[in-house]
Amino acid sequence: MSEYAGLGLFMALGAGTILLLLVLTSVLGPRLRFAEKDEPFECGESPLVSPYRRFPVKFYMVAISFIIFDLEVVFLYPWAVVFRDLGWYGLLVAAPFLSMLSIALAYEWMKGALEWD
Amino acid sequence: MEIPVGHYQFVAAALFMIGVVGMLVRRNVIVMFMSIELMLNAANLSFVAWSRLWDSIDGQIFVFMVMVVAAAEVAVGLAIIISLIRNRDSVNIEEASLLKW
Amino acid sequence: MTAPDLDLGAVAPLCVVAVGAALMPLLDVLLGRTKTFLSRPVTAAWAGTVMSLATTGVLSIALVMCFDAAGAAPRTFNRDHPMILMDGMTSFLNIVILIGSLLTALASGKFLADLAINRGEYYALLLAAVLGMMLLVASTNLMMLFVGLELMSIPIYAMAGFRRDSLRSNESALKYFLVGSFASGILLYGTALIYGATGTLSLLEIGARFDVDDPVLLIGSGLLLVGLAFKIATVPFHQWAPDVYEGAPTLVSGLMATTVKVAAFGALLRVFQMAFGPIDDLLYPALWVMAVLTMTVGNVMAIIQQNTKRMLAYSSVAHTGYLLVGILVGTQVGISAVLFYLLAYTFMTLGAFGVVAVLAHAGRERERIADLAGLANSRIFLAAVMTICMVSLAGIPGTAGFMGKFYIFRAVVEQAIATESSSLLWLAVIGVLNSAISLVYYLRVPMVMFMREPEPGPEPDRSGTFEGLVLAVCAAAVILLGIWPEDLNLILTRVDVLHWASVASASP
Repeated sequence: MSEYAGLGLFMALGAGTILLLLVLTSVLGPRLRFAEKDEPFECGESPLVSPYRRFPVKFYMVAISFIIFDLEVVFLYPWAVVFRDLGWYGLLVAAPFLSMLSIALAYEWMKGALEWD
Repeated sequence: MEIPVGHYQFVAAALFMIGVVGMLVRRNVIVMFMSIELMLNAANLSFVAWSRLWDSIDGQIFVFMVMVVAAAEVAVGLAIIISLIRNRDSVNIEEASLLKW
Repeated sequence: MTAPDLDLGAVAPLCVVAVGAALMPLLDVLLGRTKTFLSRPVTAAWAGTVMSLATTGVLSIALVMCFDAAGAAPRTFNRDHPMILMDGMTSFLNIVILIGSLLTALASGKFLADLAINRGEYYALLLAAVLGMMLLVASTNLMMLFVGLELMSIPIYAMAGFRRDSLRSNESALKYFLVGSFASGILLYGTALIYGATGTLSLLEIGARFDVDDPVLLIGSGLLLVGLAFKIATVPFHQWAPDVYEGAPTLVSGLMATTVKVAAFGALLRVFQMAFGPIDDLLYPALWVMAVLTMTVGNVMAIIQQNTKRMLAYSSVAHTGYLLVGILVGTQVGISAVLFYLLAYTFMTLGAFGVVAVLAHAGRERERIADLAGLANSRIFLAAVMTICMVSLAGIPGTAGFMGKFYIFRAVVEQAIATESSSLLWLAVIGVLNSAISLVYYLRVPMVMFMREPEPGPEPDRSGTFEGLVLAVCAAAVILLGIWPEDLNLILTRVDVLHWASVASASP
């Protein structure tokens, strides 16, 4: 039975986090009501429009940045698994990769790609 | 019960062919885009299955590389499509082609 | 856990380019934020020149390193798992790639300013693509080959669409992207099948374990070759090239026609040498047909083109055919001839694209052949460079193009006599006939420039210092390679093309 204790704890933590977030947003979040809020799928884009129309490009900017950084992190998973075995050498070898990512992030930031308006 | 490697390969081959046919017959850029992803992921599935067959880690490392490359491709591809749509003011890609396909 | 035995010195040129590619965006941002430098206001044009010179500097450092490495013994990055091999052939191809991209970077400053697309990302993309090319020609492993290929291709997709306000540039980028990714997908699935059939990704191991009766392995090899054939634009996988070259900014087209092709050919040579030895006989007929078709279709289609860039695109398809002939020979002489041809081809094609790029003015490119009319009167220097490049592309004696074709066809004839193969002899005959056909469209350009009156229009402005320098270097190299090819062959004799076997056979 005790081998399932970890699983139970995990599920309890997961449920707890979700509950906590729900409560916190309902308590702390500002209440706004306008037409867009009542749409079934609220994503900043009107769901039904003519395709021959300009569209806000900033969502796509965020999406593109997200795809890149999300998947670069894939390389960190195998590294994390053997992180202790590799020790300082592993850190040294991962450093160029991580600094590349940081430079990319810094560039994005300084170019203003992370600004919403 | 273990699923034989051959079954994975059939699925991978089917996915790859769907991707190739999608690329060749469809003229909607987004669909073509998804077809390319399908081709890459078919190769990924194939790699993982072979990796298990040969008991070698190379195939799985290759999959990591392919995933990241695919992400970079998606980012650049989306950027290209967006700049095209902004200039053309329409999402209908196939109608007006300046350069013949 | 013991650290693997890594030889960082072997990949030092790649590291230099990688660091340059990483720092270039930061330099761009810094220049964008600097309002004054040494109490003078920072203008966009000035910042562009600084970026272009910085890129050129990075590439020259790498170039010097590659020259150093050219004569040395082959080295691998990781001795236990040789995935990157720096031997004579790698160094030579790296030198060609770096020269081509260096000239492009130097000419880019004013070109981008003329088209009002003076943005620093261009140089970061350029350096990233160069890194991919260098990785591609150095790879002895299918994984490294794929990563190199994509690292080369993805920045070039973005560069093709660099004129964001131009619909044609957008379409060119989209088309290149779709075709290029399609080719990558095919190549990748071929790689997966090869891996499945042999259990290894190392090219040498694949060659050693090649079972010519295994259908999976044969299909995989076929898909791998089709993928590479797309990248080098051989018939029937060439239709994208004219469209993409026409729409992309001219210097990017030049880059695609030269260094990208050089890198892809380097990978093709490697794959043939290391892995596909056992199926030479199977591939021979297919490649023979492909070479003949590529030469003929490229030359015939080039005749009817009205757009200079489109004409040069078909011309580059035709030259791919000549290069395939050299690969078909398969001997060391043939490979040396291919390498020499790649060097010569880079200079003459880059020169021709460079002239078209210099004519771009006030956000507009003048790219029809008719736009060249009367150029000999208004700008004799450009007309001279263009004439030299056209004469060389046509393969007229005294130029690099002639020596390249001479070496290739000499290798073909020698091999044909040695093996008493009539099909190789026919290949040489068809190649020479094709060269004759190509005279029609190559010589039309000097005719238009010297004989025709210019169309009324805005007076062309002077070319920039760096652009002029680049064009002069191209023209001079074309002539020098044509007059003293033997001296240049000194580099080639240092290129011990087949030396890889002794190093790489040490792999587990």
